[in-house]
Order: sequence, then structure tokens, then C-alpha cells
Amino acid sequence: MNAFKRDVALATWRQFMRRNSALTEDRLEELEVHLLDHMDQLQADGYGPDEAFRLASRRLGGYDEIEREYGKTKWGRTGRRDMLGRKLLAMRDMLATFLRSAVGSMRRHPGFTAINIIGFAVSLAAVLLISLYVHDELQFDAQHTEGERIFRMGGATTGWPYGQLVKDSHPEVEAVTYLRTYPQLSIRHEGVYTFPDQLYADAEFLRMFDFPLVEGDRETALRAPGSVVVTQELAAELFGTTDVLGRRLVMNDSLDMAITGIMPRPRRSHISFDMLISFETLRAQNPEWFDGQMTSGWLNLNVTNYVRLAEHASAAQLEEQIAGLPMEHAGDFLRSWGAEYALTLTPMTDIYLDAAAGNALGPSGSRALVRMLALVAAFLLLLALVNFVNLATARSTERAREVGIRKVAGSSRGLLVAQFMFEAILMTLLATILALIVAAVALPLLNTLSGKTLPWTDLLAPGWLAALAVGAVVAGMMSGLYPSVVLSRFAPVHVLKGRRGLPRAGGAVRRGLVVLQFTISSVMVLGTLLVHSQINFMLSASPGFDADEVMVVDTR
Amino acid sequence: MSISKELIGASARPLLLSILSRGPSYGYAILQQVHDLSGGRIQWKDGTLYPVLHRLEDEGLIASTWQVPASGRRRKYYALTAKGTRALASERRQWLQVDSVLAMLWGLEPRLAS
Repeated sequence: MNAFKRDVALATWRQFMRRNSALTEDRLEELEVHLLDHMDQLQADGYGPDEAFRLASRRLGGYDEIEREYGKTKWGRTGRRDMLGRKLLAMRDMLATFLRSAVGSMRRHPGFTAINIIGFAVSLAAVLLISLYVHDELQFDAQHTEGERIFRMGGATTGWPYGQLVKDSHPEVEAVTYLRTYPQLSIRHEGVYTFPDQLYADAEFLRMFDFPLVEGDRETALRAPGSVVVTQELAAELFGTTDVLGRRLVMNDSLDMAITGIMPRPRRSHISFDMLISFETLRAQNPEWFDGQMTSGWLNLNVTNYVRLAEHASAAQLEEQIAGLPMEHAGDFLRSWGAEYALTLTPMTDIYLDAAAGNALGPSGSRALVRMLALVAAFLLLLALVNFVNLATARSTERAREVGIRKVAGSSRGLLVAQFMFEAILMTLLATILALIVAAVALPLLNTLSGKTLPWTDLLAPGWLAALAVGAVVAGMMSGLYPSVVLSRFAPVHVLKGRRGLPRAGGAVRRGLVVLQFTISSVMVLGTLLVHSQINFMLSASPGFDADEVMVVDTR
Repeated sequence: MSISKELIGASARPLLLSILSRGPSYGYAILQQVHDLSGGRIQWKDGTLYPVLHRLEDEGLIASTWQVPASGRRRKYYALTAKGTRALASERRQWLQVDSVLAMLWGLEPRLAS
């Protein structure tokens, strides 16, 4: 049997007490003196030393008892850091409780939970798809670093001399590029003819615009006559490989062209093409004619010019100076026809969405459509939120009992609101995840409908996801706030007394929301029907001639 | 008969101030004194005494010094400060007020006829 060693016992006790963060050495010494005094007393009363130690130390309190006494805000004081730690711990415990209780509530009402989450998710998926479309439309021509300084000069197409003339006479015009779509030539490759989309472009084109070049030198690729830059897609179609730099193509059965560059097909651009042909090729074909056009083709309106202005140059000022050039050089002819022609500057980034600007080089969008779709998405989101709120409050009578019990058990109103909010946010987060899946599955449908090729990975872009997460939390808070306030308002006495005592929750607000919901739905359904019948009319109305008997001849 | 926890908590402050008003003392001795004076009816848990003492010290009502008496071990003595003396007077008035109201209500003291 081990003999009681007083020093060892005291050392152990001190070590144990030191784990208490509230105890300073000074206070510990004070407690130790107390312990020794008490032990003396007990030993004088006839207790053995080991028993005296045990009784005295137990009486003084163990580690957690002293901790608790010091932790009492009323008496003791604890360090600031310690309080923060406690608060964080308490918050973690609270969230865990919320989560447990939310999952329990969802499990108890699987039907309601499913309807609410699926309803929200389907609407949100539609909103997501529309947003993807709208975002894509707005991203058009945003890839060019100097895009803000690039303007199209003269209209969708213009006469030949203006570009060079304006650049030579206006120092604020840093660069001008010439583009033309005519003539489109055949390509013969291994005995098969194809007609890819061709764009004649001068060497400045690849300097002004940031279309990426996978292979080749963007400075020289379009400099020499007979040079072409092909897209990877076209290369793969013609050669079965994209490794085609330096290969040759026979165009128009007569021209031997060299491939000097390879690039991906332009995406989100109002300029589209399968291949670029150097503008010099046109000159090489007929130098006399070409130079004649460059000096006097004022009304040969079939080139397109883009200019890049110096930083801080005023486009409005330049436009004013150049507007009269056509009347100055070809006024007699124009006036004899009673025609007016002024040069204009159109911001390059406006061309795609601005229907009035016209675009001879590729696709056009519709700003009106984009705005309308954004509005539809906003309304859809509003509908989904309203629906969510209504479903949650409609269930209030059912949950009133739970609220009563919770209140009786000591839950404060703020805690109840927080808990219901937490549930709402959890639901919207789950719905958002589901919506992402639904949207990804439905994306091919949208692509067929819109003619776009949006990849589903666009849905997972980091910025997009972050916005969604924030949006889901905000939506959860917005949609959770009203039901939680209504629900937490119940007096436990009423709800526990029986069904008769139950208050009708949020009558006026809920009726208002239902009316709002109904109105928006009606407008959207009517709008859809209207557009549908319009399209039907367009497809079935008599054009005034028999289309089967008419042949269209492309004269371009 | 034991005294409720709440009342023990509420009376700790005036009790400590009163004991120290009779002269400096240290934790263990104070505890003994409370035990003896109340005939064992006021049972302070040893560990709870010190937080209250430290709280009073933080408020400036009492001051502490380590002292080594001629015989015995080094102990931390607490003494009332001037501020503590004033606080005790205030505590005293409050207790007597409550006491006199209760006494009147329970008919322990004669009331003046109106």
C-alpha cells in the first residue's frame, strides 16, 4: 500500500487547478493556503492526512466548479478571448441544434418539403437557364481588350476610300481595318467542294481584335496575298486534323492558298467566319480595279471598316468631322438620286444587340428580347419566392403547436425566428442545388431553342456559383422572414388550448401575395399565348404569292 | 432550516464588507467566521468565496496584501477601503429598509395609528 505523500498530492492538485484559465498564480496560491488551513483543521479534528486532503480539496471545489464560479458573469470576470471562444462554441451548438430540428421537421413532412423544394427548384432552374442566355448575350464582343475604343465606321458596309482617308487625315484614328465578305469562293479538297463562311480581312484585323490565334503569327498571317487563316473546326472538317499550318488549299479551282494561321471559331462575337482570307488577295487578283476602288469607289458600298481611336479621343467629335465626306466626294451623284449618305461611328460593342445598327458580318441579337427575358426571369424568381412564402405560412396552423411547445420549453421569439429562417435558408440551398441539376439536364433544350452551344460547365463557373450561393441565402432570408415572424407570434396559451384558439396566420399579407402571384402568372400565360398565336399567324398567313412557284436567286 | 441559494448570494456582499469592517482577514478565517456566526446555516461553498472577494477588490471596495504573521503561513489579507466603508453604509441602509418593511408586514413591530 502506498503511503500518502502530501507534497505529491499538492503538486498534482496545483497542476490540475492550473488548467483553469481564470486562475492566476496569485489566486492559485491563495486557494492553496486555504486548502492547507483547512487540512490543518481537519487533522486537528482527528482525520488522517490523506483523508484531510481529500475532504478539503473536495470542499474547495474541483476544476469545473471553480471554473463555473469564475465564469459567472455576475461575480467573476473572464478574459475577452475566452468569452469569444465561448460564444463561438455556443453558436456552433445552436447551429447544430437548428440543423437537427430542421432535418427532423423535413422528415416529418416529406410531402410538404418535396413540394416546396421542387416547386422552388423548377422555377429557379428556369431562371438559371434564362440568366445563362441573357449573360451570354450580354457577353458578346466583350473579349477584346480595346473593344471600348473600337468603332465601326460608315454603317454595316461602306465605300472603299473612306477608311484609309480618315486614318490619314485624323491622328486620333490609330488604326483602321478593312473587311469584306465578297466573293465567297469554293474550296476543293480531295475532289470535294465546300463553301465555308469566308471573310476577307487585312493584316490590321488580328491586331485590332483579340481573336486568339492557336498557330501562326498574328502580325504576318494576313499580310501576303494568298494567305488564309482557318478555324480549327474547318481544319478538322477538311483535313481531319488541326495541325495544318503551311498546308495548301485550292479555292475557286484556280487559287493556290497557303494556310498561315489556325484559330478557334469566334465565340460570342458579332463577326463570324470559318476562314479569313488576306485582303491583299483581292488586290492581287486585279490590282487596277482594286486601286481604282480605293481612290474613287465612294459609292461602292461593300467593305466594312473598323477604326480604333486613341485613348480619350471623342467619337462624337470625329463623327461630326467625317459625316459629310460622302456628300463631299460623291454629292453630285447622290443628290441626282435624291439620296443622303453620311458616315457614322457605331461602338463595336453595341453592334450585336442594336438591331438598328445592322450587321453584315455575323449574327445579331435583340436588346429588347434580352430585356424582356431578364424581366421574365425576375418575375419568375419573385413568383417562386412568393410561392415559397405562401406554402410556409399556409402550414402555420400545423406548426403553431410546435411553436407553442417550444415557447413553453423556454424558446425565445428571436430564437424561433432564427430557427425558422435557418430552415428556410436550408430549403432554398437544397432547392438551388436541385435547380442546378435540373438546369444542367435541360440545357440541351435551351441550346436547341436558341441556337447557342452553351456548355453545362458554364453553370459551375466560380463567380456564378458564388452569386447563386449568396442569392440562395438572401432568398432564404427574404422568404423565411415573414413566415418565421408570423409563426413565432403565436401565444402558447392559444395554440395549446386547441384548434379553436388558433389564430389565422397572416391573412391579409397572404391574400395579397396570392393575388400578386395570380396576376404575374396570368400576365405570363397571356404573353406566351399571344406570342404563340403570332408565330402561328406568321407561319400560316398567306404571303400573297404561292411560295412553291417562286424561286429565290441569291444575287450577292 | 437552511437559507435559500438566492438569499445567500444576495447577502454575500454585505456580509463580507461587514466582517472586514471589523479588521483585515483572509479567506479561510472569513469562511470560519460566517459559519460560526450563522450557526452553520449559511453554507458558502469554499470555492465561491474567492470570486466574490476578487470582484469586491476589482470594484475597489477592499484591498489585499500578502502577510506573514509571527506564527503561521503566508496568507492573503483583505481590508476594507474608504470606498468600501461607504458601500457598507449604503448596503446597511438597504438591508434595514427591506427588513423594516418585512417586519411591518409581518406585524413584528408596532405601527403608528393613523
